[in-house]
Amino acid sequence: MVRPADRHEPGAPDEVLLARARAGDERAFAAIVARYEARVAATAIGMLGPGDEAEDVGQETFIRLYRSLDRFRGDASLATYLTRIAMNLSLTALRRRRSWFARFVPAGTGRGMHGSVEHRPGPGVEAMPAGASGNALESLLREERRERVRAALEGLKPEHRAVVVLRWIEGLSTREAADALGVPEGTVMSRLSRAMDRLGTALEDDDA
Amino acid sequence: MPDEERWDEIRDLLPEPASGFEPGFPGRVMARVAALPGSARRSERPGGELLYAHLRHAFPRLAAACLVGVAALSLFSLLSGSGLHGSPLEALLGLPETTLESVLLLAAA
Repeated sequence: MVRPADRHEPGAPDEVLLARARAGDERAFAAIVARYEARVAATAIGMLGPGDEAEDVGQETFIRLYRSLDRFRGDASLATYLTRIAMNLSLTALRRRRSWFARFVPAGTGRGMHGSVEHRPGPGVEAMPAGASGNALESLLREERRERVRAALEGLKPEHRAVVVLRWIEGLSTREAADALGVPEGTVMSRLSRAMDRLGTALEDDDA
Repeated sequence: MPDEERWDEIRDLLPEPASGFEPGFPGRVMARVAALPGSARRSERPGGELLYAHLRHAFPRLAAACLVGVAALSLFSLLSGSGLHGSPLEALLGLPETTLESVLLLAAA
């Protein structure tokens, strides 16, 4: 796969780019940003949803890397290091958001805990014109279920949401997710199990 | 429905990972880097300066390794002799034992 940064630094290993960035080569740092933008975006947008808040987390993640270039020793891979920063910043943003909503938004005003609009069933299947094809109906049902899962995901505790984002959305291994979160692998497994139970329950509740 | 099947079903319904931020993200990050105060900013260093930066980066590790070496040698010297009969390094190199007599003879020659 051709990574975006390869436009600027074809095949240059991370270590080389890091050494050059440490020495003040800003083109090398820009190549690192381009190379890992998708990875950081998957974490920030997965946790916070698309928007300014996720963009701020993304930018701050790379600014923190820039400031800590001399301290980064490569004990973890750069990808894991960046994911860890992005996840910590996202968790902080989620907690800040939750506390803001708890303080200023009265209960039952139609906003979810994480600031998104709560799931409300749309016109859905009932609004389908008579004679709509089976495929269209199936596609609409699936989209509704997808929307329910998305809403339920936003309702999860931040640490539960984090494991779902890292394991199932970003596709990291349990070990990588544990490294990124700074917790043991067993904790990742148990949080994931609880999170999936909650998502499953949310689907069943809506199905009932 | 068994857990595994249920999990697979939920996984299929999860959103796809984002592939990036709005276009121009690296440029916006680099603009923030450029706006950092002077102390936090890295100025570009040419040629030899790059080597210097590498060496400076490696220095703490080198210094630590040297300290460990010195400590090990000192300990070895302490345990293996009183110091009057030459150091283990001298013995290893086959150097003659240095005495007051040999020094005086050397000075007189």
